[in-house]
Amino acid sequence: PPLPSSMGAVWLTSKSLQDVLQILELARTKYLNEVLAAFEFMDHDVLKLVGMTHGASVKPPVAIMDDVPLYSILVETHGSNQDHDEEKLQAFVENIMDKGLVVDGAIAQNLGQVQDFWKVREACNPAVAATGYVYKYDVSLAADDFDGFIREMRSRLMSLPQQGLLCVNWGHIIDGNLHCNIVCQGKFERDPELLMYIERSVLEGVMTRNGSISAEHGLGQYKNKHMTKIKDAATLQAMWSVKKLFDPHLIMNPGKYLPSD
Amino acid sequence: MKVLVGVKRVVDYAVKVQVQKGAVNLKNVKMSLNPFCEIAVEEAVRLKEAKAAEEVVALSIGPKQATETLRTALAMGCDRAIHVSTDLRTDYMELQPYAIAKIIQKIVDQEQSDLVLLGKQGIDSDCGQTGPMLAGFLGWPQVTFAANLNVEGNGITVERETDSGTETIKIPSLPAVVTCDLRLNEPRYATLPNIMKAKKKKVDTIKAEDLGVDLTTHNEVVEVFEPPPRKEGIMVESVDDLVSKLKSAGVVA
Repeated sequence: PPLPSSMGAVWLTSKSLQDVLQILELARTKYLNEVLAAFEFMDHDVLKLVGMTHGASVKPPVAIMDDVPLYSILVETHGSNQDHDEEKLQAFVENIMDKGLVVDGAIAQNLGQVQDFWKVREACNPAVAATGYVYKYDVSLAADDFDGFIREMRSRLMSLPQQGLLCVNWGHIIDGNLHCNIVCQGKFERDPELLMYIERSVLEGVMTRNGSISAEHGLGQYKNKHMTKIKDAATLQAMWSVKKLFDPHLIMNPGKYLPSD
Repeated sequence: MKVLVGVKRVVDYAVKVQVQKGAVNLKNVKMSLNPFCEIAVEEAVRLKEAKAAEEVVALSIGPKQATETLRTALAMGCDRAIHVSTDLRTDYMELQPYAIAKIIQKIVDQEQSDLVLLGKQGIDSDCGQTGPMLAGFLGWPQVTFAANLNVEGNGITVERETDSGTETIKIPSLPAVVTCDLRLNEPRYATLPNIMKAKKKKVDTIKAEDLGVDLTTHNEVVEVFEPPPRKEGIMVESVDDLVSKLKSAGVVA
């Protein structure tokens, strides 16, 4: 498809994931519709890490406050008519401000600023990786379940004796997908016991909410042992039959996705 | 002091321009506030915040959409705006620096401005002429390529970029024209509450023809073309091959 001739972006901050989700709904179904190209959220814990690892080179358009727990959102629009897209963005922003869903924000005034907004979003992963060993989970939940899931994860981590455990989150929330990252500040080796505890917590948190642990990155090698907990034996048998039909010698992606027993 | 800031609506810095029918194609192309004008706006707003300026007026010459560019300037902190409306192309194809400077002179007279801040050049025409011409018409001192500006008493001291280093120019008393360069400041973002406030700020529109300025295009643009595409390089197989090719091209002895 051809590159959009009109690109815009707005950075928003909100007090809660509930507000973030309402903003998403308004963007998707009422104000931006077909010009909505990206909707990314970042919690301020990950943005604080970005501040620590990237310093002044990557600055969020709206400064991160210390105390108030907030979320930042990056919304991008793509279209073919700059005037039309900017009108839609203005109407969207006015409306979410009127509804009190937004604390602050900034509208990109040129393409350079659009790129600067993305630099912040793209710094999230490197920032967390530079902080410590990251236990990463790509989870799919119904939009309304994110708040509860994050709260639960954080309280489970707080009940551990280790210090410096953080649960930081960001995602293409538009797909119902959360990059949940648990990092132990200053510790760069994987801790097998901690791993088991975290995996159990994530799995239970996701399963009780009827979510999925594979999301966009698929199951790969590490997570297939959990498949036995998620799908019952009969279902797994059926999945194996289909696989053997297409791949009788098991040469395609060996060891991935389906557990070998 | 009353500050007048020029803001120009130009093709966005990041766009790869294309030539169509002997001119840069402006259809369906992202337009934004000229980066050097953005720096001028930021400087003007800082003067206001430092209480050195009592009022900052933004001025743009262009089509109806120039009011959007003025809204950006208002969102950054200008108090009000003036839109001189014209459908003539402002990228040198139709309206040129001589006429633009004449227009700004009329507005300066009308507004009784003490300091005019402009970007050093438009990234479309790349002339850098409007500031100096305006100063000439007004009979005012000028400093171009400002990298630092300080108010001192009734005047200003400006550090100016040159090819060989920085020059410090002292203007003992205003009025003056200053054109702004990259190092002067880092412009702020247009934040939501300010964007909302900007909607209520006054934007006055005047038709360019009503100003009594000769808008004729005095310089004829003979040709506009894209730079020739980069020529393919030559692959060499070895260092000896490289040396012999460099020798035959006369690059090395």
